[in-house]
Amino acid sequence: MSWARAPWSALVLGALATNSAAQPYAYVSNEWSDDITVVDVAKAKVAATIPVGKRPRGIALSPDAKTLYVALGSEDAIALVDVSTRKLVAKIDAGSDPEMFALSPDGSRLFASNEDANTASLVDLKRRVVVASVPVGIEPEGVSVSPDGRLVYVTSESTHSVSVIQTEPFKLATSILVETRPREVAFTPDGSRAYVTAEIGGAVSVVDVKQSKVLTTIRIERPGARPKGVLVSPDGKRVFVSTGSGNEVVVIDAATHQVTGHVPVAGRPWGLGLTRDGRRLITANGAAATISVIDTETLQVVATLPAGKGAWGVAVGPG
Amino acid sequence: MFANMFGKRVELLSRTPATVEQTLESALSLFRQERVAAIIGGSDDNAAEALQRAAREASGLFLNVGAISGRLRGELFDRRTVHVHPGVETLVNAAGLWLIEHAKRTRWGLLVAESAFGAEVEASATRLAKSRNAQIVQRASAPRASADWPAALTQLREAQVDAVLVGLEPDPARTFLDSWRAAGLSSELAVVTSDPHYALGAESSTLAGTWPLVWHMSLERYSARELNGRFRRRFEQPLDGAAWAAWAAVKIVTEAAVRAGSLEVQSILDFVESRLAFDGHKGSALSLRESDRELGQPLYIARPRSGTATSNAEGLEIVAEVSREKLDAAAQGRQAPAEKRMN
Repeated sequence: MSWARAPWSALVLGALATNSAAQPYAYVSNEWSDDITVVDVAKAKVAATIPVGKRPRGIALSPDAKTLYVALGSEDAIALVDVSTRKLVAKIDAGSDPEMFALSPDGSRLFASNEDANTASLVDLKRRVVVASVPVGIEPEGVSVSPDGRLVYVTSESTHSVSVIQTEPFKLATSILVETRPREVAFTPDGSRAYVTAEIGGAVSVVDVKQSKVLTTIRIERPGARPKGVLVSPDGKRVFVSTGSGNEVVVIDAATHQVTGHVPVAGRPWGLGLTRDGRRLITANGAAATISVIDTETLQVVATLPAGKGAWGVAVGPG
Repeated sequence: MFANMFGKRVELLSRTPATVEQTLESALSLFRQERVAAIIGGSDDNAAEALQRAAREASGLFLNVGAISGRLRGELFDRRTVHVHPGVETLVNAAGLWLIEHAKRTRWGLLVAESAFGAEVEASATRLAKSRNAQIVQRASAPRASADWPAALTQLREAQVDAVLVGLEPDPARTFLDSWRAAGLSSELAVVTSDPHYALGAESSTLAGTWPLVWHMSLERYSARELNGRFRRRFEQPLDGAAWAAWAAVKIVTEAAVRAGSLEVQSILDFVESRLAFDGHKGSALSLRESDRELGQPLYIARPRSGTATSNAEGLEIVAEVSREKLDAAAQGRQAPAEKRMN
């Protein structure tokens, strides 16, 4: 490489480096104002509000970060939002009363929990149709896909269970009994464990994925803790759990299963989102209609921003 | 469904005996011939006593979902009985605590039936008032004929009470409410009865007062909305307190069987006594209160709301929740943390 070309090449490489670490945005569903709050995480400011439809709760970005999916429980649909234009572009069928959902790793399929139908549905995103449903427990809610895409876990609040569903073919493999009123579930990056929050049980169940059984139960013995949202850090070392009316996010060491930290967050934190570098955790605080941005190194809230009514779920990705 | 998911089979057998004697006979047969582990029932105190006796004689379990008498919880205390529905004392405590702490009414008039039920309401109210610096300044008895309600109400008006606590069975409660509205007293009114939905009736003239409730169709938090919706879709009627208690009882037994891994009576009993953390869609884990074998739970305070309604029960709105902690403390004559308003 000649000196004449090197600076230009360096500039191009520098530009590529900037794009691949694009500033993250958080997308927060607001259950009762029927819209999405878009937050510029780096600037800690609200960038936009996007009307989407009735009772938005579950929310997730496509793997290529071009499409935002939002479950609309009162419309029996999933809304599709174009991330670049921030406009609603379509609504697709996802079975009855979808509350939460998860996408397959390749982004071609969507798995939704149908709260009032006690089912989980498989949606083909290319054809935009429901292609299969399986019965799960009563009041299904949390949905998570294993990193290898082979399994879908669906929590059911009223039967205190996790339904383990094989994705190929789409069928129920087994059910795991967990603590009382399970809400959400998250897999570790290596797929060996899954963490299931139990709101009334005040605990987190650690599931051995290979054996489909509970390995241990972590009691969240914090005042008023009602565990709801759960996320695992990208390095797999920490588990973040929102405690709802306990008004905290607790931090669990994934190796020891001990609670090692807690961050006070006012306003009933439920939904959680994490930037790709794991440095910022975003919470949706439904009772206060706010969003909190937490520095995961210092475990301090660095910003609190206004959201819509009933701030519920969080998805984080490049804008 | 819950049991089936984990390889257990729980079967529900239904009986509707017409008399107390038949209730005892039927229950003993269910325990001994059908080998049921638990009986859920108790639409009234007499039926509940028969079921409790059957459970004791046949070494089974009885979950009471409707009878409210203190006799079942005190004199007839039995380890094999679990009271999913609260009793008279708990209902009186809920209403009384709300009168004192929210409505700030401490000069009470008492209007009770001349019956064991009325005596129990009076005893509970007296205990609570004494422990919370409230006073019962006038006591009136329920008249033998409904035409005499005005006389009782006049007594209460003249005593210048700021709240009236009423303990009546559902039928006289309904006729009383008619007279209450006509009398135009400015006092708060709190009603304790065994079947509030029936007592409220259907006429707008009986929609009055403050009611301590186990459950209400308008509850939404903690997935109550979803439970109410499922029940209404299936049975085409709203979920009331007695139905909630029956639902809860079935679920408690099933959950005990699944988590304990056994439908043996002792196994279920041990679980209920030591490990029960029941999700009744009330926002907290419900467990057994050892002193009276009641399911410790928050109760709701309901008052008439504005707007149209298809029934008087629907015409109520929940204005406060009385916490389990407060009710447990009142049962033991202690103070407890402040209760919370629903909004």
